[in-house]
Amino acid sequence: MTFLILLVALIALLYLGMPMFAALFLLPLGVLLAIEGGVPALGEMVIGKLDGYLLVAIPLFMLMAHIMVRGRVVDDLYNAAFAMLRNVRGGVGIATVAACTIFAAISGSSVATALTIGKIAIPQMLKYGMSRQGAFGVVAGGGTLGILIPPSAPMVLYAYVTDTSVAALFLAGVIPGLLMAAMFAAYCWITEARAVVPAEEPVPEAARHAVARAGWSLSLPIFVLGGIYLGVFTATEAAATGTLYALVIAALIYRTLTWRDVVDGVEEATRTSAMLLMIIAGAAIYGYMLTKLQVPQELTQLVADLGLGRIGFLVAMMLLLFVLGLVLESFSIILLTMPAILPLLGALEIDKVWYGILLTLSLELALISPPVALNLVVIKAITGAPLAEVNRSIMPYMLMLGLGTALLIAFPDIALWLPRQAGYGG
Amino acid sequence: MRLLQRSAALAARIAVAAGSLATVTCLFLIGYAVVMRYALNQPQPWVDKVAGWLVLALVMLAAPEAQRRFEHIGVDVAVGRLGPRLARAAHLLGALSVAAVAGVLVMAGWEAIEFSLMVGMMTDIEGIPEWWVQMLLPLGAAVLLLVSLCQALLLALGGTPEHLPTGDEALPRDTLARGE
Repeated sequence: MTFLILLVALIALLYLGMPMFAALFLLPLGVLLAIEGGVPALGEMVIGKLDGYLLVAIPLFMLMAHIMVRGRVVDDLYNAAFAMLRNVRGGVGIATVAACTIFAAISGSSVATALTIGKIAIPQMLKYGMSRQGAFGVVAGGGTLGILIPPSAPMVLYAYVTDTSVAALFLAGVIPGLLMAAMFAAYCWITEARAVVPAEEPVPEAARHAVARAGWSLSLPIFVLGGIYLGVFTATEAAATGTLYALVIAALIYRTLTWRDVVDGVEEATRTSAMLLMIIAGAAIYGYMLTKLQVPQELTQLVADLGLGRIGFLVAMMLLLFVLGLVLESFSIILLTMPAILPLLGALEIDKVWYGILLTLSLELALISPPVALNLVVIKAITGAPLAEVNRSIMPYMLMLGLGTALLIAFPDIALWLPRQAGYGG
Repeated sequence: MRLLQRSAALAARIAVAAGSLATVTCLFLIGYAVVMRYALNQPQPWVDKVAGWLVLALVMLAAPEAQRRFEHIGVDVAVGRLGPRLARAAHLLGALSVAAVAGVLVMAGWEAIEFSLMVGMMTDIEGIPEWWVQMLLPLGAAVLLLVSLCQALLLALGGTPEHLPTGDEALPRDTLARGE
């Protein structure tokens, strides 16, 4: 009950206009002042939270994405996928899913994936006979792969908060990510039979070049994930070497990156990281308050009293995360829930890596759930279509994500098999 | 008022430049550590520690510029749907709440430094006192306080701070990140 009251109070502060990090600071500060008269060693607490080697991965992965996007290295992705799949049934839609999947492995951002691929893909899909709802849905749905397929900033944060191996989480996201991509592609194949490029239409010159050059985009996620899988890099090292590799591709091979792009990219990655990580600073005091109020113990007792069991608990959590995802963004949800939930995972013997992937899937579902769904806002902005039409287009993808979540609850090995192969236990 | 606004903007721009430098330093330091470990078999454990400090630096030094641009994560969509007067009140409350947090952080950081100096705390790296690192907290928070107070003052007086969201932006302000 205490947890729910605190959550509602926090959300109320946010809706009054407070930034997340400020609300996360001020609410616990008020509570702790009332019950304890203050917070001991607040400065050390905040510094201790922010001074973390693992957190370096967040600005560096963001910088990597900025370099690849600003250097226009990823522009070839859709054209290459389109050239290869154009004659397959539903091929223009499947090409969009393929491009989203690869872009997700570079950007780690769902919104950026929907925006970048959507701009190129939606006109093409409509041109070759795909329905409007089909075209909008596949971009919004495909975009969600951004935070499930590594690298993924929410996964780095989850690993930091729960003391889980970020490499194991990254590897655990690969198969569920590919499974979701396969479902989305199959849906296009089934429902968009008319969306095929006529066989007699020649492959455009630009698409032919794109096939030859898209290998560079593809090589980056292979380099990053391969390095982690083989144990060559930690996640932070993979972020740094991946960024340096992206610089080499964009500056020396494509020669499209300007000095201004680099400076702007660095500043933007730094600013965005500051926005995200300030929430971690706020979460330090929030977590301390939860401990003082004995919220984790209260929740553990509640779950025991309800006799939910492992699966019941997971289903209840997925529903709670989905509801929170309708009003909050990913980082806040992780930081708000994990300090209270973590002890329960231990008590119910739920693998933290498994839960991390389930949590990411719930966040994905929230990203495309009306009314406050960023991916849908992006589609509306690109196409100018009414939000009601965009909202309708996403229903099949919400169902598929729900199905994916159910499959992952029933078969944890979908996520845990790959990290085990790499020696991460789990 | 204009002078105050310009001073706050300048301070935030200088701070974010220093924060960006911290990001670049992190990138090359970790790259260096990887090369040293694999090419020369000489692990550099100090890099992990320094990289952690640089995260603290980039967060505290870039946070004021994010505030100046009204970019800190909140429920933007809700505020965007309010009428102009209510949206203004929400932005004022937002700026005041950030100023309150920044004020608390300045004091908390200063207390941490005083304690470190009193007991002579040192970091794990020889010759570097703890307060050098701790200094980043009140320093960044002081700039954040300046920026947010300036915004709050302008909003209260009926002015329009730079980058104030209008509510009719087509896209989320930073589409390549925000963890989404």
